[in-house]
Amino acid sequence: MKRISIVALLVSGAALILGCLSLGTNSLEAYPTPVLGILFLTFAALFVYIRFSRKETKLAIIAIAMLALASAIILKVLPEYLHGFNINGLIHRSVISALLLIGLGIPAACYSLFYFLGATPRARDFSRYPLLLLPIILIAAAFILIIYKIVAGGAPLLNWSLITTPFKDQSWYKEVWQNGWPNFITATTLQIGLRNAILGTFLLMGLTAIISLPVGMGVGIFVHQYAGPRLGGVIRFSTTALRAISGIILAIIALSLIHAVSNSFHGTFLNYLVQGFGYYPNGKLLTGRSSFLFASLFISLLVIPIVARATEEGLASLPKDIAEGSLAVGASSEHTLTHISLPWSFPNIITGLVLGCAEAAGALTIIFLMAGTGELGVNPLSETTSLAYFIFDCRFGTQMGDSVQYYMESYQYTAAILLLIITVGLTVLALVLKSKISRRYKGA
Amino acid sequence: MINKMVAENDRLCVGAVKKTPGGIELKNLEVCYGENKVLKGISLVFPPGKITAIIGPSGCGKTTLLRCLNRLSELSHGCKVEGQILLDGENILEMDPMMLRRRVGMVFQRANPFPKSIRENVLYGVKAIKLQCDHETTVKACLEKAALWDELKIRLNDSAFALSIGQQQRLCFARSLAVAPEVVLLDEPASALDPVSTVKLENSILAMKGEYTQIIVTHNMNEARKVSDYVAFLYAGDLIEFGETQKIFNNSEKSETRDYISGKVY
Repeated sequence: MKRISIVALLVSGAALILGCLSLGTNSLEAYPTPVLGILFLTFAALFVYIRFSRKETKLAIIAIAMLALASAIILKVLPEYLHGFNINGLIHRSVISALLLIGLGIPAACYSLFYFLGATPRARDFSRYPLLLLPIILIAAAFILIIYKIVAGGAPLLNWSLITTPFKDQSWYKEVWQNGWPNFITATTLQIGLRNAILGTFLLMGLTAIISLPVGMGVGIFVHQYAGPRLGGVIRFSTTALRAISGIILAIIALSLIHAVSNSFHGTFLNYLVQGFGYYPNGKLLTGRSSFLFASLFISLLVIPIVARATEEGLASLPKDIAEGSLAVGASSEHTLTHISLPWSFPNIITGLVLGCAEAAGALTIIFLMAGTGELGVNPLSETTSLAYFIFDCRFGTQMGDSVQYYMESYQYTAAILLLIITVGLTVLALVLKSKISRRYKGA
Repeated sequence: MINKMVAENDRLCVGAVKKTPGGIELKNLEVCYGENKVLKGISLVFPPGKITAIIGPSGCGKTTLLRCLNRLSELSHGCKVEGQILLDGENILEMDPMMLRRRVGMVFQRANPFPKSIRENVLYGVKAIKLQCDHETTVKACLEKAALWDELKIRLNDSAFALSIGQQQRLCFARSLAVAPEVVLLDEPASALDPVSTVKLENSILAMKGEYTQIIVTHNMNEARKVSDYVAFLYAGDLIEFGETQKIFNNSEKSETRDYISGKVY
């Protein structure tokens, strides 16, 4: 029994994995039918074996076997696209096979695990694991597919000089002689480099952190410590509502602000402050579309609610006893806040801030109308740029000709790898900091 | 003015140094939570330097009474205190609560050490109110008073959370002594402790008799009998009886007190 049930377990596991994988790709078309055929054979054998060795008639087992056979036949006769429907282009045979494989694989895995573990009551509990594992497998499969796609597309182009050179795209008119007549054609120097985009991402995160940490902490402390229930509720609602405003709405507000400033205060410092500026190599002063400072101000609007809520939750998680203990030895409430409550909520605040920064790194909706390729340098008053914008520009940038666009498109995954490294790195950093600081301040 | 400051400093000069225990007098104390009257006019004198136990069934206002004495009751919403509470003749309701709490320390029902090292826990109050004193001496003196020094002297820098609950509670006792209070309030300090820790804590409390005025809320009759000099019996917000421990336990005047002590259910 052990031997046959382990075969059944392996086959149903294979069916499940194949089902998960073929959901996203149609290159595995050759496998579902044979796997389902083997599933039929194994479960038929398992049924016969149970019938003779344990004198039990397990209808579920034979039902799985029969369904496997039926599915194999269906898949064999099914056309690759389901013609006759309007959506025939979308429903590929692989989707059907994935659904059949997963639908059959789960009960098959559960039953075979049950018999593999010896068919005891305890085994019945364990045999539900495949059901619980499936969502994890699905998520992991999706994650692996995404990572695979990005790495396969971007890794070949990733090299040190790409990371260290700035992006340059200069077009000028070039005089050439054709048929004895002078003619002007557009010549382009395109130097693909990610240095400024990477630095810009970090600058954007840093500025966002500098703006949103004090404001967010202040709001959180005020709501928890000083505001009454009604005022606190109002503030909490408005920060949540701020979070719910989609980035694109903030973007158009920011854009109209920029326009208003550049119209009314043209050439003044305020104009440069908002729009950002830089110098071309020939010394010419150029304004950008929006400065880092201005862009991070608007991104902060999305990060402040995160920090505020994290602060508030951190403060609220302090046991009331401990705060009272501090007051009871004669400490002021301010001293209690700075020496007991805030250190206690540091892990929450730091996690909120770092995750907010990761969001700032990936924030595109706010800046995609106001960022540039970072040719004006990277400082708080130069034109915004970030990896997220670079990816967008690779794909949809319209300033350049088709051939250039095609050339740049191949770099989108390279930039995506770097962005992924930064955001995943920040998330890991948040987790590490949280556990470290928790140990330091909470003694946990 | 200067004399007063010097005197103040003398009094505050920490843990080891002697200062006089303070006496507390309640005059017609009434406490309401919203509409709900929790204490209905209590007049009582806690003798200085003695240990007074407050006993009574749950919800009779023992803890409320205790929290009024260092004005922690003000932190609860809708708590209104009327009447007079005199600490050495001064009405505490007119004092600065921070100054008051330096003079009236408190140990809570559940051990509540700060998330810091043992040393920092003891010194927390000293540092918070910027008391001038030698830190090492203070730590040693306070931990000795709580009978913790021998156990903890080699691990003063460990987190207070690493201690057992009994040790944590005694650490909290030591912490409250570090700012040299005149009165120490103990709110069922042994209710979550095992018998051994309870005995250790009780011995520390007894050893401090005469040095501080101690007021202990307890449900444990044996503890009250063993530790206290005086007993106040509260029932439903009223002071039923107050007197010397021997008298209350052996021949109480009121039948309610006798019933409660002997375990007859109300």
